[in-house]
Amino acid sequence: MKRVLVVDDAVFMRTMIKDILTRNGFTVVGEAATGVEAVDKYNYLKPDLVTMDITMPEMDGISALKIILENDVDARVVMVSAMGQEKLIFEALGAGAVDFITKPFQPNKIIKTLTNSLNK
Amino acid sequence: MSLDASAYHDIFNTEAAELLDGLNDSLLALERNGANESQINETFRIAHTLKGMAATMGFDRMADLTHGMETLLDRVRSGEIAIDGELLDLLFSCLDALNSFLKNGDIDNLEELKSALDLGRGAYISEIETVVINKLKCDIKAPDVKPPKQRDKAVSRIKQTTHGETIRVNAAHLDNLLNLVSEMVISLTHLEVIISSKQFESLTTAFDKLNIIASELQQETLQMRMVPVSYTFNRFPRMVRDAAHQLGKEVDLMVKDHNIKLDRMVLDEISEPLVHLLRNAVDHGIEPPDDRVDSGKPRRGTISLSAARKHDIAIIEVSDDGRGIDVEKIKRISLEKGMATKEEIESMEGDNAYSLLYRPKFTTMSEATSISGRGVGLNAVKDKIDALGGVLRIHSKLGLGTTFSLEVPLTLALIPALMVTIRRQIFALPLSNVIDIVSCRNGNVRRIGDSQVVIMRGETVPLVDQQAIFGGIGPGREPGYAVIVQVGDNKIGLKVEHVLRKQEIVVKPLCEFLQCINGLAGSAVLGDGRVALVIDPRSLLQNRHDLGGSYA
Repeated sequence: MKRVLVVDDAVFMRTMIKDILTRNGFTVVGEAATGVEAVDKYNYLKPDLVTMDITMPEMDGISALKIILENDVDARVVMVSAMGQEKLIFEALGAGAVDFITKPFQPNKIIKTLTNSLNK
Repeated sequence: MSLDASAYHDIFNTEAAELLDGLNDSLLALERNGANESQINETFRIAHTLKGMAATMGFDRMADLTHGMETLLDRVRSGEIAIDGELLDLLFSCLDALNSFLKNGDIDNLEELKSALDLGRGAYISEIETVVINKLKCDIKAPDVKPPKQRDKAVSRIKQTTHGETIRVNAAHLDNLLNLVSEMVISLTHLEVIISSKQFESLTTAFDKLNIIASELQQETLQMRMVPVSYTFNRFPRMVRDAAHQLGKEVDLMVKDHNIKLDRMVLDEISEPLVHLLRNAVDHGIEPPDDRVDSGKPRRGTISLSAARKHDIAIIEVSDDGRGIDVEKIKRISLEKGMATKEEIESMEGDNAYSLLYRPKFTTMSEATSISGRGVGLNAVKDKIDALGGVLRIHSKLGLGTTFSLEVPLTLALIPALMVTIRRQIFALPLSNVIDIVSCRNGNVRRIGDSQVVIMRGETVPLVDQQAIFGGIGPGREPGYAVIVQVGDNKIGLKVEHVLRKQEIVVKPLCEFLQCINGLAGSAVLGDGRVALVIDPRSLLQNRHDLGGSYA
């Protein structure tokens, strides 16, 4: 089973993503609420995949993405964004994110995106 | 797979409410400290998170509004528009709308708020446009912008948050509780084994152990009822801000809660009195900015709200650096209105005169004349605090400010009581009201006309027997002691036969058909299974009034 780290500052979002993933054969090995926490947890959990929110306190998702990739060039990070954040998504993809999903979630699309990301 | 969003409703509500509290704090900080990058970013982030959550739940109207807020804040962030008082008012209105969405599931003034957000009102519109827009708004929405309604809203907001049916419990307390219950079950099994095998020597050990666990269990359960005062205090900065705006005052509220925790019920009971006191401080305490400058004070007034703990008592203070209470003025007006006699007023020295403010009539009078004195609802505040077995004190220096100090018990679930017997029945008196015990022998009791008094350290205190509680049962044995009970500033002695001991009791309400008996606060089950009635100290004084007593 593929191991995923879910990063989002809202418990509500993390719970929902976690439910979608676990019902579809993924294992959520950890959750993080800030960029700093995400970097830290990535280092010791070494997940197969990260879902990364962009707007978060302490450190935003793009900065966290960059640090994670510095430490592990093979890290697979899928950005999670809301409507109106297109510019930031381009920035993240440029920095090395494998793909992105947008809120509000469509579960099928999330699973498809994540599965594809693992094969990239 | 489809996703049933309704399953996430509770978690959404909890987190959204927390985020809105954060938004409130953030907007207040922006207002207090001016615009700074990190605070604007924080405000933006909260609006953004709320938007994402609302969209996910399919709450389009909430998502719409938060999207508008986010866009506006982004423009502020990029320096395109500046944040000012009007813009903050708009954001506060959005916050209110979001709170009402959580409560009622809709936003009445969504379109209006959205267009204001799109305009970035307060930055780019010229003065003339502002006047026109404001006038239009007034024409359409006049009934909604009346100040009193906003005040009510602030009050109901507090009520709503503190009267919820669920409270959050610290996980550590729950863990401890579970541990203790498990240990108790083990101990009980142990006891069962001993009893069945009749090893009575070990019984004491097992019993002691069970006793320890039971008392820890009780403490732990009590702890679970305790909630931080900040739950209620967090609402006040916004309320004070709104009140100050309405009255044209400039006020900073400093809150120091020292992580004090109170029984949820006590906290519920004091939140309304605190709203009264804070509003009074803004309305009557703090002077208009220009007056303050004229008298050499800083333009902005300061109100402090603090909580501290002293043994089993929480001390909550509301202080202002405003104009203070003019004692002479209060005395003069009380006399003019016939609320007190000349002798009464002349005998009042120093702080004693503040008690005039508690008299019910003072309320209307003070509102009508709006003199420097307070009194708006103060008797209601005093009643609430008295009912909790607490004390309300006033300290004031003319020209320098006023402090209202509330002393309330941390919990009502377990109260220390003095156990006494009256006509061979056991009664409990809340210890917080007992100030002394005097022997009725040695000429301590005297008769003045139809009434009896007892001499306590040179002071004459009216004395009553159980008739004051239950009416005419007829006199019992010659009583041995007078327990001196104090409520507020009034003292009264209650005749009892024996004073047994101090004991912690759990007060249970009386069953419905007994509740009509005046004078009883409830009942408590004692260690040996007997029931003791708990005397309500306030009723002793009230009954005394009814009997035509002339003290007080």
